[in-house]
Amino acid sequence: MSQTHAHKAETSLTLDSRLSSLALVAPWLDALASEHAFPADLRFAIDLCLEEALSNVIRHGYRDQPNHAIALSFTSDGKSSLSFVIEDNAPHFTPAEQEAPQPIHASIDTLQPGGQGIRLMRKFAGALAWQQLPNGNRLTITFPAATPILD
Amino acid sequence: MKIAVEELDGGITKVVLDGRLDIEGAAAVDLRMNVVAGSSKLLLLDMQQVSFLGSMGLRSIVVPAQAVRRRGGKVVLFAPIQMVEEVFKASGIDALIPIHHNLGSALAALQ
Repeated sequence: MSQTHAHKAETSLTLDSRLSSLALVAPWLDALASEHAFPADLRFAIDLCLEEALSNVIRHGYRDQPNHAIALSFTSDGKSSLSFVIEDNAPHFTPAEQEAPQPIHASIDTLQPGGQGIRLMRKFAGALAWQQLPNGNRLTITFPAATPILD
Repeated sequence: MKIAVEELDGGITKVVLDGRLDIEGAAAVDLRMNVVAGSSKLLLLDMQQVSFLGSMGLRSIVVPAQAVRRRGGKVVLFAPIQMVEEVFKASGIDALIPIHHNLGSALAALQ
């Protein structure tokens, strides 16, 4: 880095399993976006995928019970891609079981407003990888870096 | 997240949403959206100032839109930014609630 930074952006963040804790993600992401010069569209896609993934962990993994930890971390290979890893201690999650086939919506009246989260993540992330840990789950969300990270 | 409601000519209700329609933003507008949906038959949702839209935000739009439609009304989305429009498209909602970028055509679609 040519500039002098008093603080480098933190690459990890621990959240409590309540939806209100998601408010901590935006400032954390702001610092990373600033340091790594994320283009606006990439920033939007990351924001979207993290909100969907973290709210799924809180609502479905931990069933809205607070006081469980969720570990969020960021890694970048400096060039072509960047990844966000979410680890929880919730019961094992298998996305195929959760993912009912999306019907073709013939009418707005039959559209189920819920259940769009994973669909949106698949659209906006480069890749999603779920892994079962001995006592939880790890989701790795990878994005192609749309522009080279300057430095 | 801010929400402003304006009555236009022709019985059209314009709802201007402003801010991030994330989980927190969705919670902030849900009640007002549902009240508007309960009384309006022609609803124009002005999305110009919405900088973020997630699945809970989609729900805040779809549920009131369904209520308006059930009473024989119409709903259009006006001028979302490109990434917000991508969220509507990814969820298939654009096929059910039309998106217009021209105000004249948005208003005409409600006639």
